[in-house]
Amino acid sequence: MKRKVVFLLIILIIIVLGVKACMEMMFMDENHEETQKVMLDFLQENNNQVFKPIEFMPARRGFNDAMNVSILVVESPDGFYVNVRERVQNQGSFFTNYVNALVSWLINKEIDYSTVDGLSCAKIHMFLNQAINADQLDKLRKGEIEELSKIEGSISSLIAMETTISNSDFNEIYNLYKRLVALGRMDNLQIAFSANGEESRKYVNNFPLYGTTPWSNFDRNISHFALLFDMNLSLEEFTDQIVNWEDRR
Amino acid sequence: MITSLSTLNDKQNSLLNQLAYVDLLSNWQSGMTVYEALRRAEHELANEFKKNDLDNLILKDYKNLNDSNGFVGISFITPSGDVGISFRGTEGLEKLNGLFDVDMRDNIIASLHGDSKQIREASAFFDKNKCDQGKNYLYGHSKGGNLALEVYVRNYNEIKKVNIINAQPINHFTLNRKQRDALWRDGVINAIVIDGDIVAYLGSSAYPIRIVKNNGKDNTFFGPHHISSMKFDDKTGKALDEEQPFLNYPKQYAAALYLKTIVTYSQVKTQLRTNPVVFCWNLITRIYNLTVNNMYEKAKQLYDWGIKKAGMIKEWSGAIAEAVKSFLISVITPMTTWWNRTFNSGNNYADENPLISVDTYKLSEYAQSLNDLNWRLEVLGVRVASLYLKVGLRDLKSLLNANFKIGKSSRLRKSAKYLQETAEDFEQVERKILIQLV
Repeated sequence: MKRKVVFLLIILIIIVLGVKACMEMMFMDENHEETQKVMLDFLQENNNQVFKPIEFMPARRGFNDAMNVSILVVESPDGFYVNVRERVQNQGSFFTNYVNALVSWLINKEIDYSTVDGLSCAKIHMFLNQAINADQLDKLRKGEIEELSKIEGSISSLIAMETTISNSDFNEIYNLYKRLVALGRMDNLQIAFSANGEESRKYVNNFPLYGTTPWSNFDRNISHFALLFDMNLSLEEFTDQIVNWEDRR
Repeated sequence: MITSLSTLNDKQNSLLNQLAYVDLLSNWQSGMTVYEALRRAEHELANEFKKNDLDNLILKDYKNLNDSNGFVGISFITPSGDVGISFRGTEGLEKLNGLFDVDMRDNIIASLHGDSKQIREASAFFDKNKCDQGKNYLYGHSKGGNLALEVYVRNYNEIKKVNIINAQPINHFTLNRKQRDALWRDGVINAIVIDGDIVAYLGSSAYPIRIVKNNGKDNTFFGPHHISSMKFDDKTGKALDEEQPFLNYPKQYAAALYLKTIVTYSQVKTQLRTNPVVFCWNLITRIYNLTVNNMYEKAKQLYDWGIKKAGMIKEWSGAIAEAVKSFLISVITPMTTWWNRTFNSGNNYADENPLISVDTYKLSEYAQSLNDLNWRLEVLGVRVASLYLKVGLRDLKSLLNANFKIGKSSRLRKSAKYLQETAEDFEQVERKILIQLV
């Protein structure tokens, strides 16, 4: 009986190895450069701009890979990041967050972050719920931020502080919070302390891509982290929610 | 806009199966719509949700432990309060060592023992998010389907429906009788298997499965395993049933047969080693269940099968009889005609003289003549009999011989009767015809 089990196991391993070999051969010649070029062309042709490729993350291939995604990160001429995605099950069909990224950049331009001491990096990210028209986009380009109230979507803010929670000025951070809330459409605010590394900057600048991982997992240097959904807080409430965020979870 | 999860079509259920594969952004919030959460993370799936009227589902909870034990679950709620929970399957296996990653280890352990870390995570996720009124619906593809089934057999009275696609079967050797029966409850398990998939054969399916057509978009070995390989009716959103599974997938068929055998064998061996008492008890309850509870049902099935087969045989025999009949008509009839024309003069006369005239008066006259002749024979017989006293012994033998031959003849009487009745019948028919003519 033991011999039979061993025999069956050997056959199973041979089959698995065979299938794996076929799969590896199948994907070995996949040319990522070709894919990147097609994705970049798609973005450039649709927006009449030249983008600079930053990073390409090929979809994880193999068993049950249909839902996996290839992502090309590019930098726009204006300096913001755009992601182009291609799902394995829909090859040749691309999705991009260009409009979200453009609107986010236009809003970020109008926000003065310099009022906060010890700020490492901060950005808002706009997630539109429906298409934005050219007129609204023009107004945003002109700095008419109040137009945001007419646009359906939500804003996520990220603030990375170089300071620790104990030596931060919460008055300054609260004032920034109030100005961000005043934009309208604010949905949530993430704030991380001692987040002065490259990792946090990467996270804040391209939250739509890296945001699937919690910030504190992405940057292991973070000493304290808080995520607020309440946009109507007093200074005391604001400070309390940040300081005691871990306990409130 | 959907109101209840009980009325969704296959297309909508397939999208809810795909939902668990989405990595939501970390700023998701309970109470936002699933559509909104998808818009932030998965534009393409968000569009599909909107197109298929799923954009009013409310996100309830999301747990992503993909980097630790591989578990990912997402729960959502409809405006009417139905709770749906979707579990993620195993994805990736890019490198050979992927075969031994957390997901695969969990798959093997779950298959052999019916319990694993992910199953415990899924159960806890269900307990946390379930609707207390029992309006719970589970979804899962591949390993996610296995998790949905495992959660179901642990909570079968609290779950209305399980919608799974290409699910890894649960180890039914570890289930008790009530759990096994629960898997066969009417309309509860909607287990779709796409034609050519082999994962659904990693063990024995102890629940009803529905094999549906493959749209053929992905011709790789594992292509049929993808949800996107399902073929739908564009108008109704229903997956099209496949009548001839594996016809176009011989390699997958061979693999499925082999894997089903080896996994089932391994499950039995493992159960015998780790839980011999439980295994034997389950075996006994199965035999008891079959002989005591299901015997009538099985006998009825056998009877129905027999009737069906008998009907087929009857149909075949009817067809055979028809064939024989037509053969006889085509072959025997010309032969009979030839035989009659060659050897039967009466047949020839009838053929040549299709019309005959009948004189009923003469028929009656002949009948009377025969009766007269018979009477004279009777008289003659009496007179011959009177000679017995007059002849000696020497002529007695001749007299007996003559008396035996002479006398009233029954044949003459019958012939006369036949002629008379025939004449009368013809006359009667003639009278009827005359009456009708008049």
